[in-house]
Amino acid sequence: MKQVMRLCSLVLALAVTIGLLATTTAPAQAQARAQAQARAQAHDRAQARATPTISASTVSSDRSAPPATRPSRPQVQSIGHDYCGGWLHGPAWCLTFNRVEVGYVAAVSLATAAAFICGATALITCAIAAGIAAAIQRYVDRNGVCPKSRPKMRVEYFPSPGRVECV
Amino acid sequence: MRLTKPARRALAGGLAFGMVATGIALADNTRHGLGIGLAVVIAVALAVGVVQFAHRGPDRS
Repeated sequence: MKQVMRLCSLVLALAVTIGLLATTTAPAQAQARAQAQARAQAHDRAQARATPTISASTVSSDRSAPPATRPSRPQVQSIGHDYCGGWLHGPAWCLTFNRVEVGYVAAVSLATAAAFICGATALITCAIAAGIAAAIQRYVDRNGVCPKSRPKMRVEYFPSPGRVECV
Repeated sequence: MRLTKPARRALAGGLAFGMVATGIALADNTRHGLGIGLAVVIAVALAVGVVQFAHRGPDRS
């Protein structure tokens, strides 16, 4: 039973981490930026359509001015992992977390561990485990997992075995 | 559905950790603290669900 619980805890931590990543990383920001750009272009186009026709002399005097609207497609960034390999290392897929996201990953992992330890043991062990987890969480909140000179954590998950490094 | 005893313990321990961690993070940075609280609630709910169904025993119906 303990082995089953350990396996379940590992699977659960992995699933929660992946779910957290999907909601907190860059895709939402990139999508919002693209939508804002498209909205601004539509607004410019509507304004250009609404302006009254002007005389030929005005047009000739303003010929040096750049066109008001330039047809361009919104720049949509790719969603999901980064490609972080090099010419020596080969192709690799990575996920990069900033300091706040590392704090969320730590909170999920520590809460899962504390809950499973408390479910499997008695009161004193549970209190000790929760206290240690809270102390670790406080340290991660204050100092982060990575040093200040390289604050982001990059997790390379393909090819296997992956690696974790601070960038 | 009634929670089993280990599931109740897991819920209590997870919530205790969550309250302490959220309180500390709120004292430092408000938005960060709310995110940690939400993350802890989701993680504890999943952990309690796993413990509950792991300790339920074989179905005798």
